[in-house]
Amino acid sequence: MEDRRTTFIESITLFIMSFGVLFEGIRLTRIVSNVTQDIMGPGTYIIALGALFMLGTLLHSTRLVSAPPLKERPAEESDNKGAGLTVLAIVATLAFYTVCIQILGYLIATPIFFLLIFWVVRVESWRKNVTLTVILSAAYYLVFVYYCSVIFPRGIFYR
Amino acid sequence: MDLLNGMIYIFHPMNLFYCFLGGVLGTLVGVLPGLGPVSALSILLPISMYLDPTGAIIMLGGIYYGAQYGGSTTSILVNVPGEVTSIATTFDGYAMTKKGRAGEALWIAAVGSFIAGTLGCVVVSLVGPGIAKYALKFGPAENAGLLFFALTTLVSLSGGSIIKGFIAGIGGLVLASVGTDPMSATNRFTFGSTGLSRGLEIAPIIVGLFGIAEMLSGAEEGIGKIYEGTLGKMMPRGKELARGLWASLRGTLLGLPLGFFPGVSGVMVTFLAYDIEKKISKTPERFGHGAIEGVASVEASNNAVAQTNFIPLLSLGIPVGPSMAIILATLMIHGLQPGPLLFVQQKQFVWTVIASMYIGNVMLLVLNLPLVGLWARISTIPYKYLAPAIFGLCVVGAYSGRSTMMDVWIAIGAGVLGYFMKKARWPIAPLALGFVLGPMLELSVRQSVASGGLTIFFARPVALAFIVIAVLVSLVPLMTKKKVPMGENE
Repeated sequence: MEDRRTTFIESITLFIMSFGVLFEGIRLTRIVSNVTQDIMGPGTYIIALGALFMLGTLLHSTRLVSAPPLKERPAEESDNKGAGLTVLAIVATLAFYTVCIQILGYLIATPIFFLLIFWVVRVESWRKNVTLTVILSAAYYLVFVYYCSVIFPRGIFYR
Repeated sequence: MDLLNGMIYIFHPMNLFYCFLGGVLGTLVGVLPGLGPVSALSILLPISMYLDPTGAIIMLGGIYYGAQYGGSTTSILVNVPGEVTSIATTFDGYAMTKKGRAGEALWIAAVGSFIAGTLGCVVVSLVGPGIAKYALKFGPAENAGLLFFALTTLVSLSGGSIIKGFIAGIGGLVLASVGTDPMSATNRFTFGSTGLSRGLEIAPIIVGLFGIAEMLSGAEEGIGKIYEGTLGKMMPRGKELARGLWASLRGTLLGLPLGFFPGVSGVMVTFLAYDIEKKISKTPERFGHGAIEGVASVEASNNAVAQTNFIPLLSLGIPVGPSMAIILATLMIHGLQPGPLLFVQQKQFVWTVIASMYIGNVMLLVLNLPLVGLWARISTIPYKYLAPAIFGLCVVGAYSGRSTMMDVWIAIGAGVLGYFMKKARWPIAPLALGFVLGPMLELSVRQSVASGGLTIFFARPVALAFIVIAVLVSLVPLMTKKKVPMGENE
């Protein structure tokens, strides 16, 4: 069972979200639907979803009463910090790749991405890293650009 | 006759190739711990857009039921379930391996899966069209009831926490409503963004929630075991063979009807099959120490469920779990209207897909028996070599649907959300299912209310029955408080 702090944070987040949905529904009810028989649209359906979301949130927050106080973190959990950093680094690499594709184009960004991500997931040998990067970049180019004809951004160097 | 036509089309070289590819990829994801059928389907969903609809569904279907075959290999050899429905296989499968009977365990798992898979195909061929014919009479109110049934029953089985499942399901419905209102063309949750007014695409959300999130979670785990023992003789003989085959048949008969119901997860059926087998055995003390029935019934039941899961999808257009939701999404991406009309308007497509299941099961038997040593080796590929390739696929897959970088950001966002949900033990499946079913549910509900007012659901007995059953099924977990392991099928 989650501790009280986790349940509290979850409940607050869910309350904000459900209020957001309700407000959007209320905003939409001011817009008159051009479909004459559409009783539930465009705002009523969203309000109904918001109300159900709020109901779920209220039920979830009742766990605050029964949830135990903050648990002592076991020693092994602190060992997971390294793994947590890896996850963060992977997300950052994915975000970097997404930005790079737009600026440098797919052809240049992809090998950079593979080099980086292999390093992030601890492929320590650079020879292995470069070999895998070349193989994957070539395979992806063949499958997606050549075979599937996906049109990727070409980047600033091609303009 | 229709099935015969399907059989003719499945022997088209490209269809056979997709069937084979699906089987190979399915077995592969089955043997790779940490990569289940849902993640594999989600990662390959965008790629399937480049195939013709028949090829795409044949391949994705092959991955789904192929994973059930492959999942047993690592369960038996290294005590690591390749995917969640193979957890119960470890109980006796690994015990058989320790006794030098790995070959027999693998043989009965493959043969049991084949029996269940083939009988499942027969049931799909016989029952599917009948249900579709009846469902053709459904109006918007019945469809809304049916979708409500599909949604709530899955929510009720979301890893033991019905409230979390409920919130996640509603969250999915809200996400599905982002964009332009289908009836009044008003913008919702767009915050003035032109990109958001087009709505959220299915592929980036699915790729993020299952593919990226799964691989991010994998960064925290890892397996390094390798099976180095011998397999022993493959085919069991005498009494052992008879015990195994009868148990396979019992597992099949249990799984076939249960696979039809939304919310009945494969993992739950496998535990039930194991439990029944142990209870009816004259020597229950053998269970957990290498009883062949323990492997046979579990493997047969999960394959039977996997096969009959296709009945509600093909005949009613309702997915009974996240894997089926992804296959449903694929149908929608290809412009096919899931539901009973498929059997009328897309006869050739449906029957070719059903025929592919028969052929796929034969292919999987061939793939799994002689090549078992190869699969066991592949199962030990370290995460660090696999993950970058999959992350790359996820990015390209998210982008390729609408060729917009915004979808990549959405996939990354969904991946981070899915990762935190997994960490906090929030079920992802209801969120994804809500998202996939959301547009259909909204349209059916609004059309029903527009045509008959809010009381229409009480005036239509079939719609009312679906809603009542959905509520009752949702209440069962609350009453029993029985938890099943949270996994990909939930």
